[in-house]
Amino acid sequence: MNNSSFTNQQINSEQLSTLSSLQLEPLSRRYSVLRQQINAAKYAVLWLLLLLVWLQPWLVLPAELRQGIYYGLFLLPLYTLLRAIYFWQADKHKHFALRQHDISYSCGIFFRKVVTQPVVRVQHIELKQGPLERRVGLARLQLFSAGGTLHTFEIPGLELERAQHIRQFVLQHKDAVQDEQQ
Amino acid sequence: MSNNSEPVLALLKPAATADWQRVSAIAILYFAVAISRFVVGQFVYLIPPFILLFNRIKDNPGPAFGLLVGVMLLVVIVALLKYYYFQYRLSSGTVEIRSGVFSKTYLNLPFNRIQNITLEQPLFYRPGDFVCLQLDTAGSVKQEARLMALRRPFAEALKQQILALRQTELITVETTAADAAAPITQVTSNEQLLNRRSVTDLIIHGISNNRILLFLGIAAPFYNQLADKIQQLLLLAGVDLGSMFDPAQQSWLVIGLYAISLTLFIMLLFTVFSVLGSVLSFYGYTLHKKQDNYIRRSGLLTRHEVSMRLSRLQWVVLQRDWLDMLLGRVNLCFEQINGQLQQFSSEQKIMVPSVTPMQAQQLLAGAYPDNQLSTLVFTPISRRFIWRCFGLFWLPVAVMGPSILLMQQLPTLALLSTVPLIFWALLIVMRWYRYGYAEDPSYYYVRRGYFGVDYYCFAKYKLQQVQFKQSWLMRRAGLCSVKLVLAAGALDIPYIDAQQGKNLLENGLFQLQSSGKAWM
Repeated sequence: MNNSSFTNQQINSEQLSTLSSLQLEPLSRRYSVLRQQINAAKYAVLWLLLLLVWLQPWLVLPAELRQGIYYGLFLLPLYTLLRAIYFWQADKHKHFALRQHDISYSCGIFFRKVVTQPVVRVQHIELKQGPLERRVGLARLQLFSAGGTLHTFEIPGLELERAQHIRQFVLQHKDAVQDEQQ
Repeated sequence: MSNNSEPVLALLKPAATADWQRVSAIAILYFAVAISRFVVGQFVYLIPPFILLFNRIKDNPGPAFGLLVGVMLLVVIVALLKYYYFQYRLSSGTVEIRSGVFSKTYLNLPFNRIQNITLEQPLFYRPGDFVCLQLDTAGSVKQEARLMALRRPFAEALKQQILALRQTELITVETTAADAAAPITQVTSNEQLLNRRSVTDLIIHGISNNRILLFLGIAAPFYNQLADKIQQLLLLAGVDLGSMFDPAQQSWLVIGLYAISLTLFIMLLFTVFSVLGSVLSFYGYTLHKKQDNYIRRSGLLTRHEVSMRLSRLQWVVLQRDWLDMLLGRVNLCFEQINGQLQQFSSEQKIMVPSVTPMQAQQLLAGAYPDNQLSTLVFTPISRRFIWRCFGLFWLPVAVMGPSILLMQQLPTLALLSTVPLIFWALLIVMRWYRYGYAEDPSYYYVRRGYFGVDYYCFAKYKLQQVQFKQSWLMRRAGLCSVKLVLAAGALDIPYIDAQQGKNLLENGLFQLQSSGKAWM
């Protein structure tokens, strides 16, 4: 293997040494917004339910339970806020990067993790869209390798068009196609 | 493509002319045994009440006898039906199987999808020299084909045919040479014996490795009877476990002595079972190499034959437990794709039990000629690994555990609890001490273990995915953890220098992407 004939290498080492040197692409803005909305909506419903139980006149609740609900009415919004802050920060740290031969995805606030999936080793690809994701035109891209389901490579929160582009890129990768023919 | 090997040509008529055929009639016995096993497995919990009711059954054996005959009759009928409805057809590079009495199954398996070929010979197949041929695919367990009873020559010929087909396909794909015929003439060359294990080796293996599970797996239906028998035997011999351990009757010293001797006795018993298990499953062990195929044959009662193509090999593991180190042995394991859905993952790998380090070296060199495991110097991981484990897990438990016990007024227990704590601390330190990694231009080497030590050796282009992990504290210390994912499993190398970790992954990715080699 003489390095001179293979151009991927230089970019390669730069990518991992300073992640900023490889143009890390953030996820879609809509992804972060959607996550915030889901978080807010979910806990708002929970809070309303709790409020309903607190206000309802029909059933006499035990004193301890009423006490618990009372605290819950204050703690739940606080927890929701903490989750929102965490999501906001966590989503800010999610990036992906495409190179000629592999795809990387990095995430984590305190525990940073960069997963790199060589395109040649991709067995099959899935584009997933939940109902809410479909509404805002987002998709999750999953790349499966022989490394097992535990090591499925996933990039969440991509615009549908972009996800389709990446899927096309992987499918059209020269080596991947070669592998498939075999 | 299939017209290269003459002998089996007759088997593989074009689809139109091939007839559906049945396996040999001895398969009825095979089905019967399988069904009986299933029945016993389902109703194993009924055995204790039966033993309790034994006296009443003895007085009035009629219904019980009737029940037994009924069950046996049912087994025979189901076996006959299963045999009758099991049909297969071989045609132009595919095997088709029709089976099922009520719910019909149809399986079509092209030869070039077959990953593994296993020949299995249960005891009752020996006289007629029949074998059970199992064809595995990389996919799910549902996609495996089992031809229950074939004459051995036929099965061997079929196996050769399938392997030869794979060979030709691979050659045409890899070299894209116009005449793929030249290399195929060598297909008929003979097998080369790589390793053979004697009974002494197997006994050593049984002692140093706990193969008790292998034995227990075979003896599973008989546990309850066995336990009862043992207790009865002990009582007959005048040993009453209950009174021996009653502090009211015995002094502490005597009880201690009893406990020690009983532990020794149980360990001896376990070792004996383990040796039995080892001999049962590895008896007559041979490892052959034929072309690119490794073929393992072993087994005392049921003979197994597993073949694996060298290109399927994902990594080689050299395992040494602390007992192996004392006895100077190594278990060598050729592991291929880790099918999580496979019933017995052990069938997927080829293990060479308890070889000497020299033999292990030779076997490894046979698979990976240019590996440097014997001459390499492993890079240790950072000492922070110890502090992390101590600080995060050990210390909280070490402080909380004894202090809670002290608060509960249990000073003896608090004192005793330091023993497992010290052992745990020792484990952490040993874990750190054993961890090491190395690389050369084409291979990765990872060393890890606790008291024993395992060496993993694998080609870089076998990588499936890499992960680079860093916590905030690690980043400050210039450290990282990397994870190398292969089809056989994943390996973590924690707490190594960040720059070296990056290089490690870089080099692997470079090898993988520039070589263009297929991983299987």
